[in-house]
Amino acid sequence: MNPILECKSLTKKYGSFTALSNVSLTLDRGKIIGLLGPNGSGKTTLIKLINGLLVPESGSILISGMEPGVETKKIVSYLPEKTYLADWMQVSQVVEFFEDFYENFDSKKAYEMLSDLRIDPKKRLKTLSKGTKEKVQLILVMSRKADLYCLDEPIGGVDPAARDYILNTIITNYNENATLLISTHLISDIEKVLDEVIFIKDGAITLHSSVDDIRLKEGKSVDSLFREVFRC
Amino acid sequence: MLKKLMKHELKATARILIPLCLVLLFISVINRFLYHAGSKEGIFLFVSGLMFILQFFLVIAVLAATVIFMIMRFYKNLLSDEGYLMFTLPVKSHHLIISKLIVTLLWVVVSIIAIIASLLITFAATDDISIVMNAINSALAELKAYFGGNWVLVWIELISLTLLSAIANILLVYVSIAVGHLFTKHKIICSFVSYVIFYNAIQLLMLIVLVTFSYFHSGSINFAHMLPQEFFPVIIIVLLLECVAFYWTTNFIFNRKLNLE
Repeated sequence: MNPILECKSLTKKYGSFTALSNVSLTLDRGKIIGLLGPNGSGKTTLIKLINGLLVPESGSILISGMEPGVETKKIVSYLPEKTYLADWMQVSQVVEFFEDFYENFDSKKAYEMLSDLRIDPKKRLKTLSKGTKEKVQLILVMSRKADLYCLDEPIGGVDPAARDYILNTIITNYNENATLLISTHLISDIEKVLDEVIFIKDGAITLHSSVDDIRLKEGKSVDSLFREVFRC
Repeated sequence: MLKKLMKHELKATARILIPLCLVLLFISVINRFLYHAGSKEGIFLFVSGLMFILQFFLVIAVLAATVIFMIMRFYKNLLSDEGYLMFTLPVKSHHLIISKLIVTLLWVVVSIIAIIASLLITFAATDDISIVMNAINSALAELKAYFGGNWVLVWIELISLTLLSAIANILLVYVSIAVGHLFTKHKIICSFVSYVIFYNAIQLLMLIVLVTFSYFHSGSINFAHMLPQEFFPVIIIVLLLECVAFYWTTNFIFNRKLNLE
């Protein structure tokens, strides 16, 4: 099987600012990968390129061998850092929306997770707190049977108790062949679930390695390595 | 997928526009009784006066809501945070534009019907309405004479003219918002400025085309003397070109230049 993601010398500029320069990256299937880097390092830009929300200046992106488009959007499940749900909708209406557009969406699973987190499906989104909205979005995104999940800062606004439930949901809910790309700077919270890490700095990838290798070679946790590499 | 997009677009807009139209029709029915009731003095006059003012404002509200929804649904649903969801759905970007266009067009028709119905309900079978009907009939008869009595042609051209100018106006709003989105700062002001520029450019273009056409056709630049038989087709063609240009530009920006905040 071809790799789930292949980026070749990807460059993205915003005006004169280079957000990503010459990034080449290959992600295998069945991995949980942390995309780690300080604010403004290009994490979100990379994820938006994968999801076809941006077009690169040069280079290529292939998702399961296809360029970003309708076919790749069917197999990529994306959680942006924004709350992207219309606030006049009820939670159940949003579930229906996802069911309509994504063939791989499992609404039964979504309702299970909603009840686990005690979120009332009849509530309108505007009545929910920011953290609860984030939970709803994460539930929707994880209720899809996708090949690639891109989670941009998935646990930032969520309380630590729910964070554990969510991380647990993430690792128990995705199938073995799927790959999870998680961008975050809350490394210590997710370190235990990661297979690989990518360090990104000023739009360039400085490290792509398995977590075990880091522990073996460097003799330290990803969190302490991150603090060392990105020391201000 | 276009059907599903339209279904959800309808849901998002109907929740305000349908109740608004129903309230307008309800008030119109009440006003019919007030209008036809005999006594017109004291507190009754005051109440019926208020009710007619209410009907007037509801007519304005229906029109305003249609226009505001056209702008807000396009801007908020596609180019603000909600765009993160809409542009990662497995649908083509031109389906996003078409679904919004068709639903807006539908609401324009519905709101016009609601307003005409409101006026008919309240004032039908009175002298005022027959004056209006006579005026419309004589205008149509005049038009028919120009077309040499060809009713079919009159209607085909009138309908395509109305439909195309509605579509061109909606697409003009869309392309202005999309162009405004290209700017990194002050996107809304830039959208507004784009609209003003495009609008005036189109007016100028239309004028130039009509004058040129008129000059080559009759040797005079006064196109007001042109027969509707020639006048209408020229406008229809220009409108058609406008629609294509606006649509293509909007879709191009969505596909190649999208940069959600």
